[in-house]
Amino acid sequence: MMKQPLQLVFAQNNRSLLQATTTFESLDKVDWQQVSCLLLDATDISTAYAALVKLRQNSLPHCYLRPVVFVANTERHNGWQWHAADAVLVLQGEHLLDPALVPDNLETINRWIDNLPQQERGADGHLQVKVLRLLASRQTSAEPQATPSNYNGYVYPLLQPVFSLQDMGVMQTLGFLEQQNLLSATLFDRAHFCIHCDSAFLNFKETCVACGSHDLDVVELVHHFSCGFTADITRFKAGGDALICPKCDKHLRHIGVDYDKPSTVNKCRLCQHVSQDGNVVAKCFNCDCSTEARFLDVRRINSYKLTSVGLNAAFYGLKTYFTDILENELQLLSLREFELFANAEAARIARYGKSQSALAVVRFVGLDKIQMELGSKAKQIFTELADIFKSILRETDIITAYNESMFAILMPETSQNNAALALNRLQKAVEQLFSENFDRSLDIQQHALAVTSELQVRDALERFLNQ
Amino acid sequence: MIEQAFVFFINLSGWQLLGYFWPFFMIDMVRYVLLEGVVLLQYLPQRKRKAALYAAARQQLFREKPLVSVIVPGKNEGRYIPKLVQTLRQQSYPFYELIVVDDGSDDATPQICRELERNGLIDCFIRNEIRGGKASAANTALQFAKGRYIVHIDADSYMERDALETILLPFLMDADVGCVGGDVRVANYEDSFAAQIQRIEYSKSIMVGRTVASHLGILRIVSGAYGAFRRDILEAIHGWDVGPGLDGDITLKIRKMGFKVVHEPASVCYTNVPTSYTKLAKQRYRWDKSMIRFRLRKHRDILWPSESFRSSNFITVADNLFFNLLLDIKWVIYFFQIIQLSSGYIAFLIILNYFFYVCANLVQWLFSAMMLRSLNQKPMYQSIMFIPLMPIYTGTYLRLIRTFAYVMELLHKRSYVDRWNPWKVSKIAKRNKL
Ligand SMILES: [Zn+2]
Ligand SMILES: [Zn+2]
Ligand SMILES: [Zn+2]
Repeated sequence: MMKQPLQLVFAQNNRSLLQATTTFESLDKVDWQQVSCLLLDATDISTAYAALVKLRQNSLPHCYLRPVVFVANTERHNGWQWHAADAVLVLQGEHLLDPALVPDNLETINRWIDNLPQQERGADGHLQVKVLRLLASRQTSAEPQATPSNYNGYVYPLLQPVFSLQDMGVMQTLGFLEQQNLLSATLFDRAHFCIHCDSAFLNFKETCVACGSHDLDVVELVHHFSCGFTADITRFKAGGDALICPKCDKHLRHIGVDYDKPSTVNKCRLCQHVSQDGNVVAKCFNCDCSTEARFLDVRRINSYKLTSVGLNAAFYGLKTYFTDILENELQLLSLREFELFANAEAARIARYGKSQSALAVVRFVGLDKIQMELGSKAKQIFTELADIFKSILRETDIITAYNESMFAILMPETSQNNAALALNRLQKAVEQLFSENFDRSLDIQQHALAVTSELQVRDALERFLNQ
Repeated sequence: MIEQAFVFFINLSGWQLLGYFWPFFMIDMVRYVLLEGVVLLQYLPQRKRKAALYAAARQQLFREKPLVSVIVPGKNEGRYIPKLVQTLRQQSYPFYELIVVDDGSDDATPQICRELERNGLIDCFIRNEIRGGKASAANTALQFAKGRYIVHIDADSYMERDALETILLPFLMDADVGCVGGDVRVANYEDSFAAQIQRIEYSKSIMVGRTVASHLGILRIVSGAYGAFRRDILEAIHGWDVGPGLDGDITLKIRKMGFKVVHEPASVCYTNVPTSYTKLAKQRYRWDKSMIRFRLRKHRDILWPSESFRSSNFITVADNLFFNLLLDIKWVIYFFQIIQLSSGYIAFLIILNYFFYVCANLVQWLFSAMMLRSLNQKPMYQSIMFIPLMPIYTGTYLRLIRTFAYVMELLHKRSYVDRWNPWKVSKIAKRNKL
């Protein structure tokens, strides 16, 4: 089957495709096998980048991994956002884009996607897997880039679009993957960060140890060998440019021969305190806080390369404890099966109009973070969580995992209100579990909706994920 | 033998006694026993009578609370500073600032002092990365001192609780006082035999000797280990000149300006002395060389009549030159006299001379005991055990070092290549004939 080389081009401020029927909302319906790359109009880089974010945050590997090319109308590409795409093409004049210009190597990315095992091609919201797959499909490493546009000073252009505001940061995720031996780190830079807001934009200045003022004079000492006189250089300056010793009236001629400068000291203009030990204080451009330099957060900024384990995980996915445990305890259905059940239920209700059923969606925000922080203790938490699910669900309820932190439950013969009540019970129990046993909280998003013939399960879940 | 020597002694007539033992009876006994005894007999009661004046000065001191800058220049002395800081914090006079200057140390001194500075125990710590010598380091401290008085102290010493207070009193009692020497004593006398001996020597030459010289108005040195200066005077003379011997040098400069230099035996500071005879020899060799350099070369103008001629300054230098340099020569003459004229009695003469000098040392020890008593200070009775050894120490050991030093300095100007100063400084000092 021959692919059309350039099937999807988001032109005209990136809102719709050239095939005017496809919008960002209908990406799921695209036949991705047929798409070799996406071209984004980058006349305005910020809208092009926003479009890229929408693509990369999609949960289908076929979509978020697909090569993206920015089409620019100028040679000047300032800002890290230009490096977020897989390639940048410069349009010469008003001519139509020549397909031959699209780099050949993008096809290797497509081949990588095509090689993904069948069961791994489904929807996948797992950030860590996304990161691994982006790196693996591009056969590249995660390279940091210093930028003034990001308040913590560094950005990983290729990976940044994958992350939404709610997600944990790129750096933390990469750090976690390194801990799991999925990535290996090489030092790129060391940087200081504000302990209050993580900003890397800091103004370092010496301050007086006695009074904290930063109004300091730097005093240079001069030592005249022959008479031993040692004082502030300004006292030798009576003779204009030439240095004349005020003690013995001699001209100082050559540094190191008849005089030298043994040291410099800071003299506070406010309190006259003299010291060589200026307290270095960093003032944060972002939050305005001043912090002593020694208390700043010093971090290693690394570039990350996939390890062989990481490469494997990119292919076969990361099994998480929770989905494993739920799978065993609750007989999780696959999303496809769940959709079939939901459609059948919707048809039944539409047909008889006698009963009502509900679809409940639960998302545990930051469950991946908990897994990271708790390590081996996570298993215990997840077993407890599974018990809560069991105690609240009925035999007839059907459950699926959209990703490892978001679950959908089909509750037959249950009103939307009752489903909401059940969800509230679940939420209370989970909150209690966390506050009592783990001394922390877990943010839970939940939503119940009625099963009707118009219900599209996948759309509903996607909307919930992106709300 | 001793019996025979004694018989020889009682058979001598008065003139014979003088003839055989003139160095002792005509010079050393007169200068160090009779003169010092007479002066002390006058000084001690007079000091008692002045008690009210001291009390008034103390009241004035605590009313005015002048700031005192304690300056500690030095190299590789960081390990002593914490203890010094502690003794300063226990001082009865609390209005001081501590300025430490590190003259290019290559040990942990900067780290130790920086830490003390951060904890507020040192007011100002300055590290000169390049070593510039003691004078330069002291001048660096002076540059940033804010006090009305400067107290210069060695890092490896500690002070009696009232030391700071008492060293300031002479300034308040007499406006002409330019600098005050403190009484430096041996801290580590229990460490070795050499230190025990030095303890006696210090009490004799500093406590008694300098008190007497001070009372006579001819004190020539305020020791660098512990002395107080008026800051305005130090600034007028732009601080210390290149050493070694910079403490004696600056004292003479202050004298030349017309200020009085006094010793205050009540202000006590303990210092660590060399514990081995080799180290001690090196220290004394350095001190003795500087004597020649400063008295005979640099300040030779004091000896010639001139506009600024003062008899007390003349005597100060002359006394020092006479009793150290010329009397060194006297031993050469005495030695030949014995060999030539009385070789038959050499053994007797040595035994008797030894006996006389032990007696003289005993009397001097009594002087120091008297002084300690009248100053209400700790006595040092057990040191009397070491008195019989003193003639060997002062008469032979120190004299040999001194003679050697004088010869080397006069012939070769060795002090200019002393490792005590950085080479760059010594080279210039020599070229300029300082
Ligand atoms: Zn200040
Ligand atoms: Zn000069
Ligand atoms: Zn901040």
